[in-house]
Amino acid sequence: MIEISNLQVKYDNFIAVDDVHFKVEEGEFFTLLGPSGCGKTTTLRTIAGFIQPSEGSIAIRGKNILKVPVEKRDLGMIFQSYALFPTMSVYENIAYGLKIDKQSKSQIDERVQELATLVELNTAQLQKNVSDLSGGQQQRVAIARALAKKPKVVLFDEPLSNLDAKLRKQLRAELKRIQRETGMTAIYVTHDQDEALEISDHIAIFNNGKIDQIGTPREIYDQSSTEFVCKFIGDANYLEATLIDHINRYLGTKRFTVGKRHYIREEKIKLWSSNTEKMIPMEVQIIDEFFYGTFTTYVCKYQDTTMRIIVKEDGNMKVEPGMKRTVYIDPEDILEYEVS
Amino acid sequence: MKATVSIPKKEWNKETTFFSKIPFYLFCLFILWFVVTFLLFPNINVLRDIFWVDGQLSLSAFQRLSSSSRAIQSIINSFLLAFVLVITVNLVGTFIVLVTEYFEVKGSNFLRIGFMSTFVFSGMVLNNGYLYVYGQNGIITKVLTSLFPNLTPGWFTGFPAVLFVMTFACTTNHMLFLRNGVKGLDNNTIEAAKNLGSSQWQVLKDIVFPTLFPIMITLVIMSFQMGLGAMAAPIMVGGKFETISPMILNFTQRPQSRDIAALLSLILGAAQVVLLVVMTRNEKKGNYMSISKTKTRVTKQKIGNPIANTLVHAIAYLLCFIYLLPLVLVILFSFMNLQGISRSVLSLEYFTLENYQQILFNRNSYGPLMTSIGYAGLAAVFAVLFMILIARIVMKNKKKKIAEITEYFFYIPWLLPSLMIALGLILSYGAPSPLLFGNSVIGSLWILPLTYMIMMLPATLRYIKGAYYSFDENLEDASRILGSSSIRTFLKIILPALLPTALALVALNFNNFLADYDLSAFLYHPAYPTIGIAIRSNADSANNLNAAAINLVYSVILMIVGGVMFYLIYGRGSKVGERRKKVVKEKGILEKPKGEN
Repeated sequence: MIEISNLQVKYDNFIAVDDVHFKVEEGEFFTLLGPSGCGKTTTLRTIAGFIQPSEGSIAIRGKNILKVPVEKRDLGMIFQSYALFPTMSVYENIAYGLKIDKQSKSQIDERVQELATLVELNTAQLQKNVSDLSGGQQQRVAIARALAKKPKVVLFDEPLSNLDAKLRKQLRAELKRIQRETGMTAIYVTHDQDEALEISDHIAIFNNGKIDQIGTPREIYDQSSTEFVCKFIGDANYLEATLIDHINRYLGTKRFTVGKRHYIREEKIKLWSSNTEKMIPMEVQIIDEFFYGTFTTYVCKYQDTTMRIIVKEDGNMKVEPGMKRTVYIDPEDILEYEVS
Repeated sequence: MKATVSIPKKEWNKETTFFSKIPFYLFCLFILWFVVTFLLFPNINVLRDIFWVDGQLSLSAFQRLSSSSRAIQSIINSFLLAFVLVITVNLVGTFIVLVTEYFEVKGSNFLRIGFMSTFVFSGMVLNNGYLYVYGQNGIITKVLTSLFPNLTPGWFTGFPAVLFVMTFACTTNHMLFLRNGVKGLDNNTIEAAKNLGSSQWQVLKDIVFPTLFPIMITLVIMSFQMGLGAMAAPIMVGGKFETISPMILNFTQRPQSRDIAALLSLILGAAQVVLLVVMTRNEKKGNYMSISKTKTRVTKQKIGNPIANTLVHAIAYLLCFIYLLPLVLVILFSFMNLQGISRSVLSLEYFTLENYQQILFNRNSYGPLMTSIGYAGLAAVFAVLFMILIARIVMKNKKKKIAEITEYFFYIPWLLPSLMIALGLILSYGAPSPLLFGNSVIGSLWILPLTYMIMMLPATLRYIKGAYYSFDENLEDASRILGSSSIRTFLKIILPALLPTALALVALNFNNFLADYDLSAFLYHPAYPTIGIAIRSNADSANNLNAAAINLVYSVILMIVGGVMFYLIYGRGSKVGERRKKVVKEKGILEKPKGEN
């Protein structure tokens, strides 16, 4: 559907995006994830046509669109600031692209109504000025406007970052529903890892202008290919050499190389284990506890390694700060990386 | 690896891109012609006139200037006026701002109206008003001569008179900028200082003035500039106290002295450049913005000492009286017949509308007014339209050197005094010129509005650029990605967003040049005098009561027009162009430029 090859964006001597390759299939929800300034938005804006790359190609359905002007690329885009036209009503905003296409009034009416239903805006809201709507409603208008012309691909530039946490969660589900219902191909930029894991079919992790890993959310989380990805996605404990040494001694092999860097996800450390053969026990000191309602985080220490353990709350937790306690690690869950 | 771009040769967009750019290229040619013809060539000619005589470098203009004691005296006078004016204007300006916005002074709303009267009562109208009150036949003069019979009726003349008029005429900037600065003070800082034991004076000295320092320095520079380039006041009330600007006008009118006029213009220009450099440096220094997370509005401060409080009230009302007296009398006497005007008596017995009828129904009387409205209106509209396009090109090509240079060309009129620009046009296009397609400026109708427009360009460009900066670029991107061409995006999305700023600028430019005298004196067409010229010549005919009556009515009409324009800029009128009331919320961001890099 859309293929980005060898993409490079340069500003004078600064390389913002370097050697980026990825492929997005028809109907897929593809997310570009990374911290601020990593090049994800630059990549998205290059696809949109707002930035000319210094190298590389962008092809949609096999056709290179690099020299096609923005307005002819047949893409939809949803902006972080929504970018709704303040001098137009909600209806006019949604109909804007259709009017440019010189569609008849009845066609426009029909399509606007259809989109209003899709994004759950009522007739009264359509007549309002965009500034009369709440942030969530404005975002729905932005989505409807981007979808109006049935674009080949819809680009999302951190569309939920201006909303509060609850609304953000609610709209994520909405976005996924709309994507399913319309079958649109979406490229989504975010720095929010939870958001990316929840709604994406595939995620590309950006780091300093390059892509570190592309994969499904599960692949990215469970098999993070670089230390950066491991640390960026989810929460992981760094294991010091003394602990790695203990594990190697317990296993009786040199399975993990002391000198490389090792991590384990917080939820992978267990307070109980029935599979004592596979699991490696170690005695830790519980230092602190943080209660979050559905789960509790314990901070514990094994020699010079401080770890956080996430435990699902069942109301019968018999662990308290100051206690000594045996915890269990599955060596399969340890992620090992070369020192960069 | 290089990009693998493979666009078919007959790709539609390549051809359309070339043809669609033809208007752009034509416009670029037009810009080039405009810059060369009106911004560069005339000013280079001024320099040539000074330094290039008979085909070689010459310093004769300097010698001729130094041998003209009148010219040298005018330079000394201008600098003297500028230095003294800096003190008087800033003392009065700071005082009136503090009593209306900072201290708790009874009747501050009334005082504010009085002090803001210079917004509409300015320029030639103000000078004429002061002359009417304090001049030979003025009311105050009549009162004073009855009290002090030895006083000569022409007492209100020379340096003190110019200084007096200009002191009260030049505080408009204080009421605009310093007032906003005081209103923007963080009350928490004042409270914190008081809490730490500061007296009212210490708060002013240690907190308020240092915070307002950059604004105050800018105001010092602006008042110096106004003093140096003073034209209307020295002509109207200066008598033998001559300054540079009227002198340039005098020398320009004599072809053999034009090089001295050019040299005087250059001196003014050099001073202006120095001041602009100082001002820009001052702007860049330090951070004076509040760093408070929760800024609170300044609450009015009580003056604890009863003697100081009484004194402040007394001075405030005295100043307000000085500000309002000429304005009120001009309005009231515009309704008196010639007998009333000659006797300086306000009475219903003398009430008449004849003065207004005489102007509104007589072509010779309303002609100058219509000419000025036409000139200032045309210039204001074209300056804004032109600069919207220039700003668009500059903003679209921010990183290109050529765009930056083009922008700087349009700031030239800021660097040079208006008189030098006018003189340059006269020197360059006094005879038919190929740059003007065989036309000359002598006897042409369009040269004055064109010069107005040239003088409007820098500020207009600056404000429009500011509006562009605060424009959410995502809106443009959103429109483009929805299939809109760049021209359509400009017309449908960008222009409506710029419209409130553009309309305000039209109004502001129009107001600034409506009662212009300085440029008109150089470039007006004898058959179509402007209102500034008309007021000046009416003021000259000291004993002609009819002329005095006409000036009174002109003044009132100009004040009404000015008032309407300010209403349009700062009142409800600024919302023109917004189709819905609520858009104001969005427009809020347009009015606060983010600043430029």
